[in-house]
Amino acid sequence: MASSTRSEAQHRSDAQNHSAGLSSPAQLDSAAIDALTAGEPAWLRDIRHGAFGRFEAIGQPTDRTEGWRRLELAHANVTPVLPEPSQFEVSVSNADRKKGVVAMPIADALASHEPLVREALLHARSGRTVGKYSALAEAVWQHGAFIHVPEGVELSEPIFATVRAGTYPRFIAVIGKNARAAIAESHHESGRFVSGLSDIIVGENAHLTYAHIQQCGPQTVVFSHQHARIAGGAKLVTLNFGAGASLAKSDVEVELLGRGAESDMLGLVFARGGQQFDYHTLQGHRATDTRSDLLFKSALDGHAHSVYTGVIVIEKGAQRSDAYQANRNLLLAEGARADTEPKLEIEADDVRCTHGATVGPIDADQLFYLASRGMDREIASRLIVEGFFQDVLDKVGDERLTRPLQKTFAPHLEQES
Amino acid sequence: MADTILEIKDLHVKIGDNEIIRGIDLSIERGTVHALMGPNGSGKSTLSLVLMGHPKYAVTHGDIIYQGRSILEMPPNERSLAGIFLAFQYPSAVPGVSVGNFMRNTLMARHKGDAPLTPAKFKSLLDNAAAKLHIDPKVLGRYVNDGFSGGEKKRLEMLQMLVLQPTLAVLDETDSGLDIDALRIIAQGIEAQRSPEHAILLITHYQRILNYVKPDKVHVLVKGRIVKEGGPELAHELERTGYDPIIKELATV
Ligand SMILES: Nc1ncnc2c1ncn2[C@@H]1O[C@H](COP(=O)(O)OP(=O)(O)OP(=O)(O)O)[C@@H](O)[C@H]1O
Ligand SMILES: [Mg+2]
Repeated sequence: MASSTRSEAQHRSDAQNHSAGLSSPAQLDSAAIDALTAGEPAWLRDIRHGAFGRFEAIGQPTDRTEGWRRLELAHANVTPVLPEPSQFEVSVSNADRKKGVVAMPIADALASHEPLVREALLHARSGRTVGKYSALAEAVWQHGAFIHVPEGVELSEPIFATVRAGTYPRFIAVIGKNARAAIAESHHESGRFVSGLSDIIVGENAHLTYAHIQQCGPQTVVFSHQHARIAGGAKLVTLNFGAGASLAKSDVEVELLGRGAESDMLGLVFARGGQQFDYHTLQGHRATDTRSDLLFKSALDGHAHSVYTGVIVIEKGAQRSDAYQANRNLLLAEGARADTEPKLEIEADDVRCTHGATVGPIDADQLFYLASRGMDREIASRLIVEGFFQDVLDKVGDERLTRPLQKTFAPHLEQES
Repeated sequence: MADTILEIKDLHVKIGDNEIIRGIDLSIERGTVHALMGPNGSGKSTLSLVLMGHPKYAVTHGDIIYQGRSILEMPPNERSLAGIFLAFQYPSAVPGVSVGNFMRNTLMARHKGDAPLTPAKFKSLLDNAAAKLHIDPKVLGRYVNDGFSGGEKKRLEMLQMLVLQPTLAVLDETDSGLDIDALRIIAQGIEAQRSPEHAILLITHYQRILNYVKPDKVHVLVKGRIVKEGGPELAHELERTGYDPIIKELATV
């Protein structure tokens, strides 16, 4: 594994570029995993083999498979590929490193902080839903970031994990009790196939803002599984930003495990051409007095298609849970389409649970109002789309993570077809 | 010689199968203020939206000549660039777009290719207009009409007018729903817009505003037709009598 260090900016260090040169096995099987993971600790290889078994046990999805029916698989090759060389970097400020923050490639963390990594990987799995591609990612990951923010530490700068190439990215963030952090995981891969797995563990009374940013290449099929475990009194704010890929299918699971745990779950999708986005979210209320607030918005141009399925689970003991879920879709072209479906599984009786979904074109009066001020259709719709997304970005509440995103969706608008 | 800015000729307008404007003739000259009054539902807002080019309304007959050329085929954004402005009776909210950002885009739309508007110049332009209308600068950071009170919306319409300096301003009930002080401020805004270069069509229900902004002419619209015209004294008369005498008079014709 080659490694190079370069400094991104003066206040940054530990910006590492990793590329893994693999001796490629011929096909994805148990022997391939042995070959890929030679030299890793036994506990990790056990996890990988277990996951690979789950991957093999689940059949290849077709457009008749539950959870896949609304997608057009004819336009996307979802057959997994062998791991390809990766390129990624993790950056953390010197000041934060001095406070004991660990933010580095997992491979490095395995060498220097094995007990921490082991605990995180074992702990992260419980409660996580099994999916074919996330199981595969868990089995064969070759690169990714490990982040550990110790108890009570407040990050002064966000941590950025940026992936530019590779097939099975892995991401693990552990936020200690009473710690405060902001982390962005961004993806810019452009190969044919990517399946990533992200685990997030937020300790008691901690606060984490986490952005998962997907700006992969236009030909790339991207799977992402994110699973977060939130302890009592802690708060997680997540943003899923989706703009790239030909087909992107994401599972975003948040489990509120301790009393008073909270999560704001935000999503922002800008799709055009023939892009397909599928988001499945879980708001898992597993303790009393927990609160979740979800807002997923997509703007769809061309003949893009978005599918949203949002599950709210409130367990029997999770009294006084408060769950909110909203999915809003703005159709910018006649050919664009959005499917949205809430699912509620509520076993407690003293709860508040609200959900709502909308699908519709830009409001004609709104468009006319902007036109009456001299703006042409392109400028007017761009402004309306920016405005449509603004409340999502506002709710993230951390401009350091969202400012770079604002520019990325603005110039993409297509002419009305 | 009167320099006619707007000439509406035998205009008929339908929405669906419903004819709402049923033959309007109206000329507005540069430097003048015309008041348009009339009962609820008589078609005042329809006329204003048709002037601006709302796609929902179909002009089935007649013409609208603005500065010498028909604008029926002109899209709304071009009408705006050509100097027509409508202060909406019910302006739309644009959530997520700040007033500042919105105004920057309206100005950029009309300065395409010109030297770019510097941030400093933009700011002073906006701040000046806001000061004239007693608008708290904080409002410029809020989202356009999103959660605005009725009066705040009217002020924002006026702010846009003062910044854009349109040749023809159509103000659709900009004086409605205002408290006494706000009414005076809005009236000052209209007076500031009044100039030998500009023309104003003031749609109103109240003679009150006309105490501040003296119109050159008053037109009364009933059921899609202008049924009476006169000077400022007509507004006073209507204030006293209401529309009933006019409507009765029409019925007997
Ligand atoms: N989109 C529409 N669909 C159906 N009818 C409409 C529509 N817009 C206007 N109308 C009808 O056209 C008529 C004129 O409406 P308009 O809004 O122009 O009246 P107005 O004179 O501005 O009234 P007001 O003083 O109450 O503002 C009304 O009967 C109204 O119901
Ligand atoms: Mg009206």
